[in-house]
Amino acid sequence: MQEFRVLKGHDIEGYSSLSVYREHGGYEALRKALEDMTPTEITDEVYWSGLRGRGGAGFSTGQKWRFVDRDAPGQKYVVVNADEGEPGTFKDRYIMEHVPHRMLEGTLIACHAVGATKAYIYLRGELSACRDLIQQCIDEAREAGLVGEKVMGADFDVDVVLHLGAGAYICGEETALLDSLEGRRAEPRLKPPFPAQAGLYGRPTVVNNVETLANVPPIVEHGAGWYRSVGAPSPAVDAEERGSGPPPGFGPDSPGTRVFSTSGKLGNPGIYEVPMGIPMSDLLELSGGMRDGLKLKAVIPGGSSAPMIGPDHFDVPLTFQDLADAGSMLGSGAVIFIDDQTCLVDAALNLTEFYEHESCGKCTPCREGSQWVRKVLQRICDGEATAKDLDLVRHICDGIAGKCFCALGESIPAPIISTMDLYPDEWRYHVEHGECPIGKGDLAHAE
Amino acid sequence: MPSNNMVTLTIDGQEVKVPKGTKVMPAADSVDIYIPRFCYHGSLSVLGACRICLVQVFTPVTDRNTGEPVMDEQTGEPQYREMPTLQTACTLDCSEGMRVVTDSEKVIKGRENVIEFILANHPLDCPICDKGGECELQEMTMICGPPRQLFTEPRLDQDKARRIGASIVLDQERCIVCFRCTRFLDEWASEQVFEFHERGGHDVIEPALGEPIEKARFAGNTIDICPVGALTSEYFRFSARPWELADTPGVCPHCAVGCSLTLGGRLGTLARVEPRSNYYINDIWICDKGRYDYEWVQEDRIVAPEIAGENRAVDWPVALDEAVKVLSGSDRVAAVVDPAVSCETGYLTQALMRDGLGLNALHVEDEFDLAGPFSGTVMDLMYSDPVLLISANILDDQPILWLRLNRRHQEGKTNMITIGPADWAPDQKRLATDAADLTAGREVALVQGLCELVRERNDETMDRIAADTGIAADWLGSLLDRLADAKRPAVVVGRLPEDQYGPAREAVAKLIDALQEDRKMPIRGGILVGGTNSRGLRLVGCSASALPGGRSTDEPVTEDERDLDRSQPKPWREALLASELEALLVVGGDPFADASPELIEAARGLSGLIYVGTNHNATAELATVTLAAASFAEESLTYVNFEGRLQQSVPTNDPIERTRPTFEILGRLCAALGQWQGEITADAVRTEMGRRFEGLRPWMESIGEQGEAVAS
Repeated sequence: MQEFRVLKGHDIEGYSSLSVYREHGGYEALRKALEDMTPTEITDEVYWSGLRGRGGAGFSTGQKWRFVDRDAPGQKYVVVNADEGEPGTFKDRYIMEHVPHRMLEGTLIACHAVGATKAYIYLRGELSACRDLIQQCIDEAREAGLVGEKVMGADFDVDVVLHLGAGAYICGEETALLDSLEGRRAEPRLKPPFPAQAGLYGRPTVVNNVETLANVPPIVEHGAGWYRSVGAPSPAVDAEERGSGPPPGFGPDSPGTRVFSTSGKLGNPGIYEVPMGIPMSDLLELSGGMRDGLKLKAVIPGGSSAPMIGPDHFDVPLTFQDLADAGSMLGSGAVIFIDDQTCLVDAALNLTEFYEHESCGKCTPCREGSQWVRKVLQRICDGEATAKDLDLVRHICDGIAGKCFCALGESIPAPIISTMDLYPDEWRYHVEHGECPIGKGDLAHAE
Repeated sequence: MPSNNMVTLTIDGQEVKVPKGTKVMPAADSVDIYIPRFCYHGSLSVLGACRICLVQVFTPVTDRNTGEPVMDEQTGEPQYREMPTLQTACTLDCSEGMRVVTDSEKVIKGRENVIEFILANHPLDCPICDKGGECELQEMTMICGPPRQLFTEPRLDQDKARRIGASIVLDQERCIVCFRCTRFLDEWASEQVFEFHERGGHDVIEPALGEPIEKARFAGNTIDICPVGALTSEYFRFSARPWELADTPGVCPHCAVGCSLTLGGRLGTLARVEPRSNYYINDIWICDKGRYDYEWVQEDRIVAPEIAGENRAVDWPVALDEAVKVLSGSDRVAAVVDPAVSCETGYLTQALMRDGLGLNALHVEDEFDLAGPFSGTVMDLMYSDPVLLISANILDDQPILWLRLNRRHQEGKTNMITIGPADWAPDQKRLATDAADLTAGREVALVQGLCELVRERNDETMDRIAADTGIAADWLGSLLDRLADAKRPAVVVGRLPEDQYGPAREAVAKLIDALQEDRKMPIRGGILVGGTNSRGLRLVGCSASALPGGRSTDEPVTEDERDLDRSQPKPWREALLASELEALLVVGGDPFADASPELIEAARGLSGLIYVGTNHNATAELATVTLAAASFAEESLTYVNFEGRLQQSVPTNDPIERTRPTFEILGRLCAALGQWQGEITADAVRTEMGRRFEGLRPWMESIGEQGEAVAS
């Protein structure tokens, strides 16, 4: 069921070293990009593949590259967003630990495509194992003439710098990441201008996620058509080639593979690269199903910012559009399976604590709303709340939704409101009985 | 048809036309539609943090391919689409055909949400908060806050009454994290005084370098722009409620910029000094000296007229009689005038000396007569680029001028180039676009050299001037490149050794001429020296080399004037040391502060020293007659700043105890010598000035709140 494209070679001994990676055809895509393709052709190929950002927002990668005016004079940058911090998400770490050169190769290709001569890899500070490995990859590549001046003898100079974050979730937001990289307090910037116009140090910048960039070498090497040969691509995109309309990869068009991180009380939680569009239940099966006879109660399908989905959608095809139709999102590809012995109020509290802790404090609804709603959720979990507090929770979430500066704040209501809608009785039980119903016999969920 | 640079939108149905790139907030302001705000501040960059300015926005639907608006088939009207969420008016660009709604139910509810969030952790200590009564949060809560409080959790416990910078006290728990203070410090002051640390609910303001900074220049402005009572003034704290203050429009007495102030008096004391908006001069800012340096108005004041020897206060007639006796008992009398005295006082001082005593010995304690007036205004300099500052330490001497230039500099619209001796003005050099060290005393050589190079640039001259001034030739080269590219440069020269002013004046004039010829537009500049009212004193004739109306002393005597020897007197210190003086009249200031023992000894040998002043100081110590004067906050006065802008300061308090307005004291001395009839009021003095000297009449008649340009 798995289809290794991003992760191709991850099971080969020593694949994270340059020599083994090259033995298996590594950096041939870069060679092709430098020798056989113009930068515009590279960007077009990526655009028409339908590749969308893997960090969470799912923006068209080719489109992002196109926003950079390659011919404008002056410095341009590519920044790799390796600040993977979305709860439940650990696929970038796996990619960096197992196929780091694919990410680096993709980064170099991106630099060439947009005319950047410097790339920064902004790595989450806690990923200490990755740190040494990535630095080693950069050093090896530099030694081999893949980073530096006249890469592969072509008219292409590029430098790559590894930078460690200091432990703030907000730095995953691309503009806050840029602030942090510049040595400032990380807070999301006003957009426009977008990074493509004025990013790092005010220069045109492309910020791409690790998995996104690791998708680039195979696309360049084998072409957009090859990329679209798996997943759930829409034939219409090919048919209306080079016409107007939404970029490829949107609407019903879901080509390629996706690297999912699955977690929860599963038989075999972990990293799975599968074609886009497989039913979520297949991913569950791949992950070894629920452990110890537990039943699946709810799923967070795309990292903690994605609203939970219930039994009605357990078979949802894993595509951007299908998840959106189900009222949630594909997000970062972190699928958290929640079992029936887990208290959803407690889960909501746990995630809210995370947002409260990680709120950067710039905008009022996120900073104040996260504290307030956490305090109320705490009281509900502690059995010190009344039915009125359920209305209050909704009132606070209403106050947050649609009023925050960035997506962090907008994510706060997701786990709360979605579980309240899915399992209202479980919430009500807490306020009526002052305790959690889990373990109190069969819940009358289907009331 | 929409023009290229303008867009038309409607706000609450009202049509507004604004330049492209205008945000919705200022567009609404322009038609008097008020949208609530906390983090938004017209003088600061846009942030979008507080979210109180939420509005509902509809945009015309356009065809993806043609870009043309899509019409509704039934009505024929353009179709509109609502933006999916409420938008912040402060960050949203106006666009053609946009419809903004600021008063819908959705908007009102959104605002309520935000106020409710802000109030969640904000203490309700308004009754003991200095900001109470002029607090933007109080006001917004009344206007658009929710009708009830749903927050019942314990509030965050944060710092109270913590000193975090020069005279600034922080109550962290009141802070609503709007970043106005830190943005001001970054974008205007370039001062690292404090900054935000931590994140989320733990956001706190912390001193930037770990401990309170005592010597900030502009940080006090953060108190004014703080929308709540998080930042308060250590001096004003708990001393009054804002509504108890008798606010009057004042003028700062501390430097030649003459910032507009609001004087907040209460029960005879000056409780608070705040900036008063004046776009031409200080915008909405003042420096920390102007804000805090008024303790002397309350402390150690001379509260009654005194006669030495008896060492006690006397009645006014006794003191004035004694003063007149001293002054009229000799023709070897000199007047020493502080440049911070008002036009009224200056006028009457010269009338007393010239018309009353027949003497021209009027010494103003500044170098203005040597340097001459500056040509150009704050606005002129702001819109010049680059501004060349040659030994002109405006950051310390005219701080608000620097502040306004620095903002332009930060916006990339003006370059500030600072050139001066090596150990001089390090901060201004550090903050300049570019700076160079000059060999001490080579200012004139530099200006002359630049003039030569502007007229004809060649390497030989360049090398010679480089050697002559100690500035590297390639640096000079890049400066000339910059000047060559510049549309409208300005030249400001600062304080020089006394003998340098003459040559400097000539050299600057030539350089300006050279630039002017080249650019074919007026170039501003000159030597910027002098105190608060140096320029005004010359206009009213209070100087040995100027007559009322700014006339030259070479002009013929008018029928009102007494014929007298108008030759220039010897500097008064020299004359005093040479025992050529018998009496001194000191008006304001403290000329004997830091005086040599010889000078003090010589002063003791005078038959009389009349001091018209406010505070006990070295001069008062030497005075035989002390005439207790009111402070700037207690008398009506006018000042003319370095640009030639006249402003009026209205007293917030009556003169304390038995002090009298300075001009009135001089007026009574004039009256005793037959030079004044009738009541002595500020208006009467102004009328008299205008009556006798045509040049002063128009500007004494109407002085607006923003002042009036009376000389250029």
